Amino acid sequence: MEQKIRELEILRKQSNLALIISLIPFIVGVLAGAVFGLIFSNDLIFLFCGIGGFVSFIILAAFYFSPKRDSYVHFFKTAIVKDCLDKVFEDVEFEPDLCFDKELIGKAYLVPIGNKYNGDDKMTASYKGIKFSQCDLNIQNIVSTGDSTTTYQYFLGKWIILDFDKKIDTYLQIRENQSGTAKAYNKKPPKVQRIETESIEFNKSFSVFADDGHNAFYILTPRFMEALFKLKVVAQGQIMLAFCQGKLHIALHNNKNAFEPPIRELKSSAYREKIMAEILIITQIIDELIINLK
Amino acid sequence: MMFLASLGPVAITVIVLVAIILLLLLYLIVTVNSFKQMMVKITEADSGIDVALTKRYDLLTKALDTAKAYTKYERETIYEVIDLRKKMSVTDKIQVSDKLDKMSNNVNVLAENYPELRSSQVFSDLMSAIKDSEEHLQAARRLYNSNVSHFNQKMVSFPASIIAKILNLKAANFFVAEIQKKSDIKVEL
Repeated sequence: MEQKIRELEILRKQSNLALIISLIPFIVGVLAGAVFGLIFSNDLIFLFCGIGGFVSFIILAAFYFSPKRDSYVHFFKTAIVKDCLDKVFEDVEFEPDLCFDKELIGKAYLVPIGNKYNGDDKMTASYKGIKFSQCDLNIQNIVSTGDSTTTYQYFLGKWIILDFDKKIDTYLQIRENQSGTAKAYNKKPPKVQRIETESIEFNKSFSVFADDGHNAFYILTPRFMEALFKLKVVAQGQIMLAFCQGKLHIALHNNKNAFEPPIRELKSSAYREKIMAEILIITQIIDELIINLK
Repeated sequence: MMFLASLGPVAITVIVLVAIILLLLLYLIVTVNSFKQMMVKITEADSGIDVALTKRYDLLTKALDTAKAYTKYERETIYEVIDLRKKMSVTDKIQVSDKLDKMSNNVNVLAENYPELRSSQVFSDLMSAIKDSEEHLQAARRLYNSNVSHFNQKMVSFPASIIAKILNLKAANFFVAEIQKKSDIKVEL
């Protein structure tokens, strides 16, 4: 492991150096443009030097910095993150560059898909005998009018898919109520009804939509509702669940992309603690919703 | 606006009165339909309880039949003859549910006393199915009570309560199962 950390540190420094080297032509271009522009009293010189420097930066960033950065991130994930995952889960298959299909996520009807969909860190593993898949997703909708571009953040966080003990053949959505920027955009399929449980507290904290009231109450037992309250405290983001097509989708909108490497020096334990904290969220979700309810 | 200004005060008063009457009629229609829809939902949920009770009874009976091969108990000592007839009242259903709870306890006691029974795959599958059927019964009961609660709340809320009185609606009964005292049930086997 120490060897891997040394290799990783070399890659990190190479990546940071590549960034600095990429920036140099831009800085030089702007300074040269300013100096020569002043000497010859010609603004066009400043403009051309500046543009030339900027174009050089773009080219260097794309062909020099970006591959270095990608190597660093990839090695960090396959060496360090994978090591941490193997310590907690069994049968780990970790693909840092992949994520769930757009269609699969769309069928859960939790959030709109938007026009910009990407993600990473797709993983399949087992935890205490429960097989699950997860990835990080970033779903946005970018709207350009003539003068401006607005980006709507539909979802940014963790998405987990697993089997649930109880099988239902209808759709059920449970969404934590949030407001402001902490809230993911809503979506639900047509012809679902709002379900109110007998717990006023639960109804205040969560919204439930289902196309079959019986199945909603079959899933939402008092113990399950209590488990959701516990998760609300530990999740550090908005929780959304969807039971559809025999699977349980758990989406955690926490505005974070987990398992990303640090820019600064890799201190011996700090980055591991950060990775383990992200893994703990997954284990807590599975413990509360599946294991403890058996 | 010009048209309204050209009318006399009597005409305006008549128009306003007609508008109010129409709005009241509309509210009456909407509220009556709402009550009717709620009653249909209660009926649906009620039949959901019937389905769940029947399923639970069938599974418990099968479990007792399976137990015969492994135990020496007399089936009639713990088998309850339960008449699951159609159109039972809520009170009847509560009584049936309580009898099924007793039967379920007896099946559990059998399983505790006879390890061979407990290790039988068929019996084990039946016990899982019984547990699932009990959860379905709970779900059916809670859905029914939720629909009854909405109906009863609307009945007592003003001004819908006036319409409820006119229609002579009665509050629906909740399905409240008696809490079974968990005690050591001795079964003569």
